[in-house]
Amino acid sequence: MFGMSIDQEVFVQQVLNGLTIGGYLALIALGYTMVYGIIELINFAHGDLFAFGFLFSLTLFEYFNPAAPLTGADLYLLLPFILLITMAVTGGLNVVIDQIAYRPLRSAPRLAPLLTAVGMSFALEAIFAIWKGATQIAYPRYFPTKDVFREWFDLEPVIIFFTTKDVFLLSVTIPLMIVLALFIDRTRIGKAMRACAQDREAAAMMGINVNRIISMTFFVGGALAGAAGLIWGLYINSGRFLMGFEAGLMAFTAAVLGGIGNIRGAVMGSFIIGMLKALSDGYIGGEWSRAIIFGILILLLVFRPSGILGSTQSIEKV
Amino acid sequence: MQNNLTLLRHRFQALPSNQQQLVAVGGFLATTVVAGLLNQVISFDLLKLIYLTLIFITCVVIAQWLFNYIQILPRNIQIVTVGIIALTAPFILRELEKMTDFGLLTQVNRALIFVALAQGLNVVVGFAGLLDLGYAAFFAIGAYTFGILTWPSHDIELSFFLAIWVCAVVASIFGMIIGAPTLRLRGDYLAIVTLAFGEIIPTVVRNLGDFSFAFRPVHYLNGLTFIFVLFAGWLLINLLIRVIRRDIVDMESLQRDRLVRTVAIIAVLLIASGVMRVIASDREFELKSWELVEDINLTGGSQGLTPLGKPSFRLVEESFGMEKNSLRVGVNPTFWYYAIIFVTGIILVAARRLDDSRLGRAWKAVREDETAADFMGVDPIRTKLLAFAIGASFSGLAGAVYASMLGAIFPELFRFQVSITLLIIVVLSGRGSVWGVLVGGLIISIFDGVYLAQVLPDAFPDEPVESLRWVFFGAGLLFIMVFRPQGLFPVRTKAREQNQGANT
Repeated sequence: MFGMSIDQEVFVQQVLNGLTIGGYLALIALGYTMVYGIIELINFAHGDLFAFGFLFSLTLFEYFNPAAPLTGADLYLLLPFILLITMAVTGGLNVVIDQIAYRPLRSAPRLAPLLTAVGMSFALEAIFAIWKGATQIAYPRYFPTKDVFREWFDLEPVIIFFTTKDVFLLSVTIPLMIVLALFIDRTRIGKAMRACAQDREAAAMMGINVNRIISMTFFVGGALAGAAGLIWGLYINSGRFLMGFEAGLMAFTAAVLGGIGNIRGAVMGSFIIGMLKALSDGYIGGEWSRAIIFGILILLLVFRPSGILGSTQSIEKV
Repeated sequence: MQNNLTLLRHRFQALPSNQQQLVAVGGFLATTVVAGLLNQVISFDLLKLIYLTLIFITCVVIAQWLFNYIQILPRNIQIVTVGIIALTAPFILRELEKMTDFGLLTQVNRALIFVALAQGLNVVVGFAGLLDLGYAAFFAIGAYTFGILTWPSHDIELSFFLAIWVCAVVASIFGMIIGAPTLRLRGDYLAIVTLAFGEIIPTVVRNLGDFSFAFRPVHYLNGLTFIFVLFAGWLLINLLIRVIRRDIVDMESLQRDRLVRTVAIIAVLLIASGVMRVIASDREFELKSWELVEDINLTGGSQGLTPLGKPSFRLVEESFGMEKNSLRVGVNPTFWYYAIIFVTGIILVAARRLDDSRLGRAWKAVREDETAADFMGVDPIRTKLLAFAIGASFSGLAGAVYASMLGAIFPELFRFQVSITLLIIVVLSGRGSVWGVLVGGLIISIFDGVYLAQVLPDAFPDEPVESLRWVFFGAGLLFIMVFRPQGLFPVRTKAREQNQGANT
């Protein structure tokens, strides 16, 4: 295709993979970064919301039981409906988690809520394991898979495989990120969130209901993670109760890379991490990807904890 | 909802200490029942569960009562009591095993190993206040060092009694290496970095199965080489501390004489060990040269290493004219019980001594307020590094003994869950409390290994009760942090502070 050699096509394929990995990572990373921005807590249980989105949307699909590749009304009405419900319920779960595990410790030392977050994460994982079993769970291939280059454009690539699923993934994640950016930049609630992130006490004095805004933040973050879970299900077609742990760590790395607390940074960091993972999967070997990404996380936290877009002033005492 | 929870929390904290503990344990256990009820797939035999749960609560209460009672006794009676309990335990446990058909002694051995590990984590988390979420990494380093040193295919086959100390040194060096870059970090970032290290180490171990090494040393380490390793490790640690304390750019401002002395000692030791090796190159301490190897299976990959070295008493056998390997210990749990009691005892005494030492006070000073401690003349960097090194060395020692006891190690043994189990032991028992971690570690590990792994599956053979384990542990960590942050068996001063509401 376009006169590319096989090696070049392999590279292009890895870049495309990187884009899709970056897409769902960004949705998870946004939740981390928003919560950190507002209450300076690493929400360790956030990755598990992603797993919850996966499992819950699977349950919904099983309930409605549509025919396996969705067509017609199923594709254009049922799928968005399930996406919205999943987002709402996952967001609600995140608010409940905040109420149970973090709110009582708002004024406690910083490590206390981190420990409850770890506890929450493990409890959630165990509940998932009881709920759906501890084995690999198959997610039916609901989304119709068509090869974009071959069937839409009549091109004949040798290696490159870019399907409607990839298009779906990007066409859900990117608009969601844009909506989120607009929500935070343009609406009154978004303004209140930014105010709380800057200075919670001052925001409270200005008449902002800080507790409500924190709940809103948890809700939005959870909803995005839920959407990521559903997208993962449709895209990868399998998952496990523990999938949230690893995805969560990668998303956290992405959020730190972009500068934790910075929305745009989280998106950028996710795409960089996605690329890195895809390239290391392709060229070094998938078994080393974990070590590479965690190595990056360590180096980042040690040498530039403010990330790429974070300001160096805002993080004190590091 | 928030107000209710806060109110509940305050009301709970106003209760007397022992009632708090009862409520906490009860709430902790109620979670299982609720989790079981919520889930329709599992049809629990509720009465049986409640019955067993009550037994467990009773055990906890008795342990707590004993814990409080022993603390009041005079010191020498304390030692005698604990000593008698410790020495007679295997026989009592053996009898209980016959009565109940549950494997108890091996679980107690495992629990004691976990107590030793938790003591190491307690140094880092409890004394120095550095949250380490990847502590299993040091456990893995200890166990794998032991594996590499004693796995027959590696041709080193160091004696058990030497290898465990080498493992402790290697782990503490790794503790410094991992600790050094993280010292500038604030609490939660430090937690994530240690977590990342904890994830990297098993990954690396898994991938080092077929690693191409150019050379490997093929000589039998003798006693002097071992002393050399110990001493060189100690010197290296010292040097590292010194280099990190000042900036590396400032190397020239290091006290020259000290540096020269260090180098001289290392050189002398190198020469001495070389001479010794030549002298000792007879049948027993055979010296081979470095040998070219194309592929070396360093860690065994995902299959792991097996069999590993067991303690053997060649010297005793030879001097009493016994048959070779007649004292070699296989899988006798009673022997292992005493071996582990010995090692865990050393670690406990060390932890107890550290608690009251100058260093221990420095750790607590840094934990409470790093800046103030720095002004008072405590060097925070050195203090924190030593916390990492000492914590890791406990873990290395325990890891080596564990590896030898199991006889096989593989990367799955050192997952993130192990780090969290240890963290839960420390937090639930009371951060910074040596005796608390001993009692809490025993209760939690036995609860895990006997109640969750044997009693529950026995009561409900068809149900996946194993999954409940993390509902328990996760919810337990959560409830303890919300309702009783000082833990079940806290340090007395800490408990007093908490009850007055002076400390948060």
